[in-house]
Amino acid sequence: MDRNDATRPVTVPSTQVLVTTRNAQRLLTPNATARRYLAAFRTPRGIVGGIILVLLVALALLAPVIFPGGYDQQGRGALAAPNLTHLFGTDELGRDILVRTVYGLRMDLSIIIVAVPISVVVGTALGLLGALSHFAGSFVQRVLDIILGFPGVVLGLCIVLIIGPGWTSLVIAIAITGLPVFGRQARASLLEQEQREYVTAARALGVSKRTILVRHILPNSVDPILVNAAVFVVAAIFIEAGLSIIGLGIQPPEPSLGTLLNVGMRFIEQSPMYILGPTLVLILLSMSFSLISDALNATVTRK
Amino acid sequence: MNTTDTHYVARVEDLEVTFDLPTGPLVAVDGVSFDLRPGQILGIVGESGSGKSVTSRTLMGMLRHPGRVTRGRVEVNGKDLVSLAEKEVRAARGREIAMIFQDPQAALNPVMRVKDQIIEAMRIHGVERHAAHERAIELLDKVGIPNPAEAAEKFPHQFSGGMRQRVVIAIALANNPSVLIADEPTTALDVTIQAQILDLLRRLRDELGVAIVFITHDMGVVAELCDDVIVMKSGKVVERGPVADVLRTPKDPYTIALMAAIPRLDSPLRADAPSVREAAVLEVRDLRVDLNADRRALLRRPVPFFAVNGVSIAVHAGETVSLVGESGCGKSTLSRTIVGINKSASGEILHGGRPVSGMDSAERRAMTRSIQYVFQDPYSSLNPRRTAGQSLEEALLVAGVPRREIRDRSVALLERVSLSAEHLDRYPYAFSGGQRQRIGIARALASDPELLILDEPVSALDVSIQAQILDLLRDLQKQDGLAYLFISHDLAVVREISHKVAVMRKGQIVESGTAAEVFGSPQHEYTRTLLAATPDLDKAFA
Repeated sequence: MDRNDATRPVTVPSTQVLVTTRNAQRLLTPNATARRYLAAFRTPRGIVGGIILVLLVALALLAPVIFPGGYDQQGRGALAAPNLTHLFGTDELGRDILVRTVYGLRMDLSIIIVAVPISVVVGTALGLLGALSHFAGSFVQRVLDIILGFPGVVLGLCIVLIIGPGWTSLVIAIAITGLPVFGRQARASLLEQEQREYVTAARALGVSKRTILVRHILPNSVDPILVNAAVFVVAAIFIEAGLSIIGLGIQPPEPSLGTLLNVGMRFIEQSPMYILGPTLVLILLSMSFSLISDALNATVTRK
Repeated sequence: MNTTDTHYVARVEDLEVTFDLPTGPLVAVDGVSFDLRPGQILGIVGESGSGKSVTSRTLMGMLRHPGRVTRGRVEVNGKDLVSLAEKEVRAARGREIAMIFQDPQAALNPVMRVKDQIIEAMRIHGVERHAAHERAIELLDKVGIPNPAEAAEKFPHQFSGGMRQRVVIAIALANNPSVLIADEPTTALDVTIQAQILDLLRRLRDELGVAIVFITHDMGVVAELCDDVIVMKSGKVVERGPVADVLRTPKDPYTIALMAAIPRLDSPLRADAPSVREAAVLEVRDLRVDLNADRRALLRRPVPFFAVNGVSIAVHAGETVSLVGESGCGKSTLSRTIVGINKSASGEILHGGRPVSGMDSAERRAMTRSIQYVFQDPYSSLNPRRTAGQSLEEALLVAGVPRREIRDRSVALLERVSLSAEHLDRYPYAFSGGQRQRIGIARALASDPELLILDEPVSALDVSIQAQILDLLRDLQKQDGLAYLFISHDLAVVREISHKVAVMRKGQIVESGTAAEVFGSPQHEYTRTLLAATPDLDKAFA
């Protein structure tokens, strides 16, 4: 019968073996993983998402340079529609909404950059705890269920009452609200991955629980968590908005995307274009995150 | 083929199906033609990717995007399905041409009574409810389900796999179609059940005169069931004709190779049984495994379920002991218990003559290393995110190989399974099924084991690849005196690779002995049933 099937490779000349072996060694180093994730930024989605995010971050960082006047300069016309001098229009006090949006973005990014990663890391760790101890895993889930029972704003209220309004309490409130989101997501991935045959294969080889967790379960759980993180960024902005509007978050006149949206909704009849700018920025922000997580997902999983 | 009979229920003429992929058009079916007479059973055989399923889907008018018919005609009862509007195709589907699926579990709706699922099939085509109800029970009776009136009220989970497939067949027959397409309808079933389903199809053909297109990769099934056969390879028909002619005197080189690769029940037995009688590498004594032991219950302990109930087996160096049995017989539980994935309830496992229970942790680690596991489906047992090299690295690290030697050892392992260094940095998806299984074997060899537990290692592979993997396993055994515990449901494969065979049923070994004994003069009734049910080319022609 035919023994020359594709599973039997032709013998490779020895020089070539040397070269490929060297490549192989390079790819076996931990750097390979990082490089694999970076490859996401070479895909169309990764490029677009990356560019949007970089632009937004640059805009936020350079806000004091671009708009040295600060976010509080009042002009003459209040609630003006977008025009050439005020691209996003003006607010109820005649302040330029573009300027306030950029400063608001700056504020929101500063909250998100701290709160979301804390939430993702702690939440995921809590969710994956079950891989090491069955009991601890179930116990943590019940605690997360209790947190899930509180609406984000109520939870935030409690935290603000304890440590007072401001940036820190917003970060803590958002991070805690996200815990059950990521905790349960990680738990779901864990339970699914534990049934996978390659996890059984690793157990049969005698690989330790912790190594299996780090090497097999965690990498395969990362994608849904990344996607969820991108979605949660938007939720985080609304928690910020909710707390800010009842006076427990960012204090006026300091702007944030959430406060801009909330105030804008109050004036939606007089000035329907008020919320256009902040919404646009919010959409771009969440889109950049979901494009990047999409691209990561596509590069990391098999095609 | 009978050329005087010009009445055809279905004709496929010069069919070409193209898939518009991002990488360019791919011709999946390339100029396939065949005719189908009433009452004819036509087998379409081919390995994965040969286009046999695409052909059958086109015949049903259910081609999936991005596939489209780029040439040819598909005629059922004189109607060209390719040119018909979707609505008319839908009217023909089910009424003139119906399909039986591979996995009855997936094809049935778990929350609908069996009766309602059959009735639904008829209501779509305008049968009145009361008449449909009566016909449903009649159909269940026809496909051989006992107590049809009672069975009609049941849900799919209350049936066994074979009975479920009968229900699927009943649904397919509901509207008296003239053509039945069966896409690997017995692949998910045990051999004894498979034999019953094949009997049923044959009987339905005789009673109803329905024409059947039977798609399969199994030549034995073709030999048992079909009148005519077409052999497909990469979208083309390479050989066609009456089954006896094609299978006995194949003309196309591909068919010849395919026939040669099929394991047969009259193949010569292995004559290289090792004669050294040291202590067995692995011995299992009176082992019992309770699968309910880990279930938590608040008030009372769950009733123990012994998936393995008093099994004793021994494997010596250089020898293959096969464990044969149908699904649910406990063969996989037994092997998983040996490698420590499941816990044993009683009995003993001895490694090199020493009981595992009396070992200290260092000895236990040594034992874990010397008994390795090769899984059935190499695709699911390799982490898709880790390259072949990374998977081998993991195994080598566990085996205690220092980091700086890992690269060389990985390459050496790949070479032992006839792969090379260039495969190290590829991900599992970039390998073919056979190559993936080679990596699975390489990983198991990483710790220089004495015993490999091979859990259906070739049943997910095409026959020609299957033959190569079996060759590889035999070569490895000869070189290193490896012991194999080979688990399989396929008696023909077992015959090719085994020195000893143990037949397992309901957690117990009902018969064991050398391959010559078990295959030559089976003692237990169940072994004889299994042997009789295994489709075999030669038996079919005898």
